[in-house]
Amino acid sequence: MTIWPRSLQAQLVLRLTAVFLFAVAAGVGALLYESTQTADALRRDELLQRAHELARFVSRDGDGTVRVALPAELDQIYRAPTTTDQFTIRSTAGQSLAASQPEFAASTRDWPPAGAEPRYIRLKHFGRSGQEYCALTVRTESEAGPISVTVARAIDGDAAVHAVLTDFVFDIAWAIPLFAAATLAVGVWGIRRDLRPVRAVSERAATIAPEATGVRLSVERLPTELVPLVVAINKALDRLERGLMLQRQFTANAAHQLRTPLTILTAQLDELAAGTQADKLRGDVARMNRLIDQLLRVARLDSTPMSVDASIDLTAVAAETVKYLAPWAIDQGRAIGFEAPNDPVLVRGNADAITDALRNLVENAVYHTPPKTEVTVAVSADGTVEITDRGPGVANEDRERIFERFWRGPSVKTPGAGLGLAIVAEIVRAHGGSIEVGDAPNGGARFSLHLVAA
Amino acid sequence: MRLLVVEDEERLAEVLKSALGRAGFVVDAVRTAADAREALALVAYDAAILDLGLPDGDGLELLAEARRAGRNIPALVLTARDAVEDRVQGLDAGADDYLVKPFAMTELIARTKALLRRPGLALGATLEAGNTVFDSIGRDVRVAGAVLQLPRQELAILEHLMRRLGRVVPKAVLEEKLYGIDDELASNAIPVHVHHLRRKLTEMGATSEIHTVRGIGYLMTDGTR
Repeated sequence: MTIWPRSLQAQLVLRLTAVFLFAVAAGVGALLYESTQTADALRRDELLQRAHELARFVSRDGDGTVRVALPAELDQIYRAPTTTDQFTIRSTAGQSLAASQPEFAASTRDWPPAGAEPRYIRLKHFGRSGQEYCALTVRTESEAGPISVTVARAIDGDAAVHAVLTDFVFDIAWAIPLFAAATLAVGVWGIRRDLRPVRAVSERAATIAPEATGVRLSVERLPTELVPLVVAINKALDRLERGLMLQRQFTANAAHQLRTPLTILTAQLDELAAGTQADKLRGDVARMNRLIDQLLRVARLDSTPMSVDASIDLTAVAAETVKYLAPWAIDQGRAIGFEAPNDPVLVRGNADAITDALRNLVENAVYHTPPKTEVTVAVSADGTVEITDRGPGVANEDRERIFERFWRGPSVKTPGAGLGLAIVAEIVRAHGGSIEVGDAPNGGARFSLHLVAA
Repeated sequence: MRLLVVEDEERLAEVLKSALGRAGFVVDAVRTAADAREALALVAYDAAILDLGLPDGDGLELLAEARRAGRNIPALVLTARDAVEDRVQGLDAGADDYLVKPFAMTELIARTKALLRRPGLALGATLEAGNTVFDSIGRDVRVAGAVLQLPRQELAILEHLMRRLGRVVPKAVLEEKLYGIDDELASNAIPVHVHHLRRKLTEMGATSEIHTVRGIGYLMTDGTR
């Protein structure tokens, strides 16, 4: 499993954040190192200066003894009980001449004699407070000749470094998150803005469907990096549309070509005397006829863009359908009834397509209603047509699936290939209407087709 | 009655000829528009059955041509195309009826007879539905040979239903037919007349039947199903 996000925005945010964290860490690290170095150097300079200063107060008496006479204010500093400044002055032979405190003199007694170059030493846990000390030993000239001076000072935490860091945090560092956030915001905003045309193209692509293959994606305002992809998709769509068109033409042609031989077959069967065998064949041919009829309707629906903008009288269209199918229904031993308001019911749509849909629904109802019962076609003023039969009805679990192409129920006895209701559903969809099937009040199925009022 | 069948598909022409022949028609079958033109000029056919797609021309063109020449011959057009534009075009060119392949021979024969049942045409004088016979000139009705006396309103309704045998006749059309007879037409006049007519036909043992298409109108069948 990968947790790396596929969103460009998230990737950008993650990458930029990582860069910022790294940059800040590196910057702070470098700063710490530099300031530590600087603090050390400053401390050493100061210690060296103090060693030379102390040497100035070393003199030789007339009797040859070496004397160390500190001025009062220095003496005060070094001898104060809480002082963190220490010194010892030794002769080059290692003999202690003076010290700020005896303990310090004692601890430096064994140090090797100092050279001309200063030596730095760190003392851990020295003195009463057990502080860390930084010490320097150097041989220097005085009035009493060369002497060895050792000075030490407690390292007062890392006050200098802290001061630098504090300055850094208050003066500069607070701006870093702001700067980072601003950069991220600009980046994310830019990406969103640049990807807006991509979203528009996606929405357009979502409208591509078998019945709408003419849609092509626009490369206008698209980031140039994405143009090749979109162009390739458009070319693929061209090829698909061509293939689909050929297939539809083939279906339509095949169905047309089959009609004449089927007519001949039907005619010859009619010449046969009635009988079980001939009747069975007649039934088979009737089923084939219906299948071919449905295939043609599907091919026509798929291939020609349907104009659904006309204002049509639903009552007239439904009445015409009932009139057309009534002789056949009566021949099947079923009755057919029509109910409609007196005023025209105007809906937006295509009269031929709606006729096709109603014909399918009524044929279906006639197949399912028992002999001597009525199929009712009822138009209401809100643009609804209800087709009710007295048959077994449609099981709840099948009520969605019956509108799928080639779906046939387990006990379907209607001729055809299961295309009829799919055709109806497609027509209704193209009209922005809806269709559903439910139970009729007295049993049987009721198909309700809702169209948009004109 | 003599029919001209214009159909280029040989096998189909053959079965059309034999089926129509058994229905009592004399049939000439031709396979091209040129032959059809010649035949129409020579013989006064009672009706023509035309296929739309012919090797040397369009059936509709042939029909329009015949109409321009003043031939009032009723024509039934056969086609494998059922697109509505084609249908409208066909009716505009002067076709009286339209049948989409594949069709049942019984349907073709019924439609042909319906064409000929129009007033003034071959079958217009004597209308038949099963054992019910209507003499539109003598205005009398016989059921299985016995005369059935009917009031004028019922006669008018019966005549119209028989001329449109096997097709739905809207109630409004029947009402129009009665306007000249009844001065004032009650709203339930048609159902009442049809009710009486139906009862009388049944009493006489008629094989024909009048069916109600509720909300639309009525339809008569010859009772052979």
